[in-house]
Amino acid sequence: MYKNVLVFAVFAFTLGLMSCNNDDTNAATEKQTGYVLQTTAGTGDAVSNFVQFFDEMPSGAIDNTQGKSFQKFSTNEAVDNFIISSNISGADEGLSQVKFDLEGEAFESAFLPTVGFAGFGGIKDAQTAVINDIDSDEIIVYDPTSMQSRSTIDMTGAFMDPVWTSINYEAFVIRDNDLFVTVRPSIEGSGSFYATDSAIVYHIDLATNSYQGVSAIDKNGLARRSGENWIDEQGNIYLAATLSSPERPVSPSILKIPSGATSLDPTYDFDFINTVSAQLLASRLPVLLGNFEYHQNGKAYSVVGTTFPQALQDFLDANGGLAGVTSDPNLLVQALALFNSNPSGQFVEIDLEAQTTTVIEDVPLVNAFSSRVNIIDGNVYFLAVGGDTNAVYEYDPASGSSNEVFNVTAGGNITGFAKIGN
Amino acid sequence: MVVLKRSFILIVNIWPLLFINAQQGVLGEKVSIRFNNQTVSEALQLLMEEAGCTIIYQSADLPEGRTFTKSFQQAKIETIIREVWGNDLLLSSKDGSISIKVNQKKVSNGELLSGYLIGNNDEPLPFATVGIKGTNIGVISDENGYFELNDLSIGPHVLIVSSSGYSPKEVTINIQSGRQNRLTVSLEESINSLEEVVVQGKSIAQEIAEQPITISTINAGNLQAQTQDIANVLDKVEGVRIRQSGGLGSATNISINGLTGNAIRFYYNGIPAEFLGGGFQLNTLPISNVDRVEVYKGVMPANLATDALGGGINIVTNTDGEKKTDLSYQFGSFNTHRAAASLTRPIGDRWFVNVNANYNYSDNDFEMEVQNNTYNANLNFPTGIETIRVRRFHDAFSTFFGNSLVGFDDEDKGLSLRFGAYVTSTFNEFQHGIRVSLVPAGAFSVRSQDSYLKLDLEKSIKETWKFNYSGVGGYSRIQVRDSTQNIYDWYGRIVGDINPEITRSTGAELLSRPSISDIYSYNAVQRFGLIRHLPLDFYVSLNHFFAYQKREGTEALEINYIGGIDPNEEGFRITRNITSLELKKTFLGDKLELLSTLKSYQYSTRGVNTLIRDRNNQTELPVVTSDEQAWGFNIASKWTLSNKLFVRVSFEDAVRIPSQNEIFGDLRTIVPNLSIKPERSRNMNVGFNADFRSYLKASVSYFVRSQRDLILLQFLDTETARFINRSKVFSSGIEAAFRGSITERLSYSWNTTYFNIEIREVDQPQDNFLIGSPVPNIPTFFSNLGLTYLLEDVFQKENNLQLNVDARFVDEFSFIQEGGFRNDDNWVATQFAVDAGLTYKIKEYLSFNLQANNLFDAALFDFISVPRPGRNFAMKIRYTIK
Repeated sequence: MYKNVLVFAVFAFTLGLMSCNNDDTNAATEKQTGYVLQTTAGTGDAVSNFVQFFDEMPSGAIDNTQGKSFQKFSTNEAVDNFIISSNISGADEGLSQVKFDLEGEAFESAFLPTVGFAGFGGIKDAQTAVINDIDSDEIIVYDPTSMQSRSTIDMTGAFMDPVWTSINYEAFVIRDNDLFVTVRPSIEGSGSFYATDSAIVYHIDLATNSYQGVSAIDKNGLARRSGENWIDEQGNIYLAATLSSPERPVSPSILKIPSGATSLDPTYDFDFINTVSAQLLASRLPVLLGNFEYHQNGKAYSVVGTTFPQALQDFLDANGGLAGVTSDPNLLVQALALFNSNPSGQFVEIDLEAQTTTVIEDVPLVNAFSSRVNIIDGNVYFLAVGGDTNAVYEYDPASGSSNEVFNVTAGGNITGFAKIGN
Repeated sequence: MVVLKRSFILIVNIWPLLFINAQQGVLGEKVSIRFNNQTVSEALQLLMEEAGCTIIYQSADLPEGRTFTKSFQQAKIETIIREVWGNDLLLSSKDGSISIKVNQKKVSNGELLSGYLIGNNDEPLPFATVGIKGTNIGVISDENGYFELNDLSIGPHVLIVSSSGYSPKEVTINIQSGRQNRLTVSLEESINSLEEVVVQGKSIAQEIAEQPITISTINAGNLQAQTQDIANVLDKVEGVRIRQSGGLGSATNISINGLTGNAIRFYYNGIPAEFLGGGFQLNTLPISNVDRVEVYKGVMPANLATDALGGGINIVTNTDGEKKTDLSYQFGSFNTHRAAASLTRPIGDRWFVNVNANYNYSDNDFEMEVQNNTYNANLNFPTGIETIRVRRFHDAFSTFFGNSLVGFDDEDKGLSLRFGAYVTSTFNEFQHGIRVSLVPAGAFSVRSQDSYLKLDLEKSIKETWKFNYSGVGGYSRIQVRDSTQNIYDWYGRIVGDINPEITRSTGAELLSRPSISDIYSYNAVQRFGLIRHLPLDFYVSLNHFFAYQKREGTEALEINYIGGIDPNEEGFRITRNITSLELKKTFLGDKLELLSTLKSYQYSTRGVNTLIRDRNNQTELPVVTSDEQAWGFNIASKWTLSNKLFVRVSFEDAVRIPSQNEIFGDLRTIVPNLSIKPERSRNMNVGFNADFRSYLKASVSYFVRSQRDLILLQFLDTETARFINRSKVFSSGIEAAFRGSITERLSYSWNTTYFNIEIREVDQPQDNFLIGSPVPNIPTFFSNLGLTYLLEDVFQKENNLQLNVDARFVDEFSFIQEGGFRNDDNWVATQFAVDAGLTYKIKEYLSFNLQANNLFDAALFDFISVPRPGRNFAMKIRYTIK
């Protein structure tokens, strides 16, 4: 009798185990929702990216060295319960899909190979994304869930100015089946640096994977950072024209591709920096614009260089002021390094319709190049890095005030913060 | 020449006339003894121990580089000595002591000084040493206390006389021409007369290793029959790690006690290899013509140091003019062939000619496991990856190196001259960059040629002045080819052959931009040295190093131009002037040596400023210049506690001048930084050396180092970077080396190194947590064990068979800072490799070597993802005759 009960129990247990499908197994072994914090530290080639998972929104002081260290990592493209990152093994080629096990340890769950450096890309949803394989010059359409390439986009008919020797695809924005790609050309004989004197956008039909046309405005070049949203509720696309050079210090502006249109609107040119810092506008220093993130109700957020840090001011005083510094490329690059590496920026709220800017004063001065804005669950978060500040703030648009959510005490600068799952 | 050269090189040596007290024994006595690859001084020491006799000789007379392997059964001591020494000798014996004098055949041109040495009671002092101060000229008095010193120059000389049991004495004498120069010197009995003083003869390598500064020396003579190259040999030295990114000809990274990269200088006969072109690589230079390899840790000698930051390797070749023929050929796995020929012929008494040539070739096609992109022929993108085991297909390497040398030695005039020419030609394919990537390189190559002339001059004036000069001039040509649009897979196929739509649009496999460049580097190096021996055992040495480097050429691809002008046309120029003043004094009867050096570093540069970006408006290249100066110093001491034990302590504040690349960038993504400062290091070394006869020789060293103004890359934005000074690093560690003979046939060597290198200062507050953390990507714990077993008279009398087994352990180390979870991708795994070799020597002139490297086929990595070859074999045949 007991023997039969035992056999039955074993059978029932085995049946129970077999009834679990694969999805259930995955659900049992992977985190489905939570927060991912990335910090970056180190010098030269030996850069460590610490990645730590939190089940709940972190708070207080965080030691991010408790996470896992990667030679390369990019946190800000979160889809479903995974992150699309540069190759986390440290190599240039390929993209990694990263998930987190139940211990919170990040691991590569799938891999998309590329021929060369996996450059910029964009993600529409969990089924459709694009990536630029720089060495093969291809724009690849892939499924971020399966990490399988689906097709490439034929760009052989794309516009090429005769003086362009090569182009870089910079920003990818997907609106329904319209893919907009900003272009950064290299001019023959211009040396190592790409031209930055035009905002150029290719339009591609993702339904047919075919090139449709180009629009351009004589403004700064267009660049985008990973994870940014440039599309408003109506389908208007706002583009940050930020690329400039010391020799052509045109201030950043915001351009627009209207809803339903597929080319740049020549009538929309929000020279927003003028509303932030006349001092910087008057200088020949290229004004920094950190990342640019659309939120809602016609409001976007960015981080902008607004002030001269003391170290820069001292440097200017010692070298003949702005005129002296900007006339000597060696001094200028030192000035830019001081500008970039010292707290000089502030977060700003940008009203894209009224074309006004509001500086958010209750967050300390930050390094505009290193700080960024992220939208998580509809809330605005500032990743504030610079000087003694290394913290994430939550901004309340209704009250116009910010509160520190957590700060990082070890692990280096905050370089990414995202939420996976819903 | 031998005496003269030593007296120059070993200015910090103790008085070189060596003697041993009288015991029992005679030349005609018979003994049985076995020698195993020992230097002459080591063999004589063994003979003394075996026969219970004393052998007296001058270390300066020892034949350089000679090693001896043979066993004697009841042979006369005189016979043994003559065979060990190998030259025409004058032997005499009395009361158990044997005196060795080299039979000088050359005609004397100088004056003769003769006389007698006597004690308190006018009794003759036999076997006492008589020498001219500040030189290596000296003799041993005979059984009647009589001595003769030949070839002396006219003028005043200080005679130093010493004998066991008597206080040493200095006597000034004025040597006159055409007159009988005679004197009698009496010595006072020493209070410590019962204290026996025994100083033994040493080889050059030993003598250098016992300087106040911390050095490891490798006598290459013992290794020349084997298939090892210099990189293999150095990798077995305590404190040294040679990391290689592949097989023969691959890039090497030298690490000495945690210092790495540009901080370590590599010298070839005292000239920095960076001025000799690409043909001078550690892992391709043949060992057959190398006399010794010197590894400096911390303070470097004034006559050698340029701007090393506390470490350097100097390879010293044989230029003694001794008649010699050396031919060798080696072949092995991966279609590796290495041939070397060296011929030295004396011409008359003073001239000689030396010709060397060697050729290396390897396909380097060893197997490795890689991840490979898979492509769908119907699509134009990779569809997946596969893990496969393949042979490398684009890593061939070949190099030819040839040099000829004419030498002149005139001991009478104190003159030594070497004039030579070097030619190298190298071709190197590259399979990948610093990582093994999904897509291999299949076309990238670098070809280089070097042509140089070299002049070395040494001159002694009136015994107390020494002058030396070394000059090198020539050019190197480097042709880089990275312009293919083909994309290769790891099977060696061009992917475009499957689908022509797949091409590499950037046109560059390993560089950031395609390049077809033809660059010439013109180099001129001059080094002057002046040494003065002053009264009271005081030495002054003034050295000046001058180097001029001009780099220019052409780039065929306009994408690399500035404003339509090729920046390589202007190129870079850098001039370095490094002056050092060294003072040395001995105290306490030579038991304490102090050495101190003050150095001035000056450099000026001229190059293209690529920061000026408005290139299309440039009508001429934006040329800029800079001029900088810095000071450094060091102090070193050695305290001889007994004839078996000495301690040395050194401290250095060293400077490294920034490289061209660090000042002017790379004309691509690294922009210039004309205000960059030199890197600096303060380091201290403490070492103990002990010699417990044949079964144990031990050395233990401890070091601390603080580096500041480290030159590191700073990213200005996503595309551009520049080198800047930042951060401070502190390191400390210990290394120990032991060697000796376990039995007559079995000898061993073992060394181990462990150190800690940590960050002490960071650039940003957010990096404060790194303070105290280890600096990543540096192996910090490694050990080497070597065993040698010798069988004599194998198959035939005087034919020897030697078995070598070498084991190497390198502990794992992380490429970057690790976090709370271990990431295996960040770690370079623990290495444990065993090599074994068998060498059969036929009467010292013919040898066969069979070598098995990585015997257990271990997976070896020096860098992340870049494997070293698996199990491989090599065979070498060598013919040498003197």
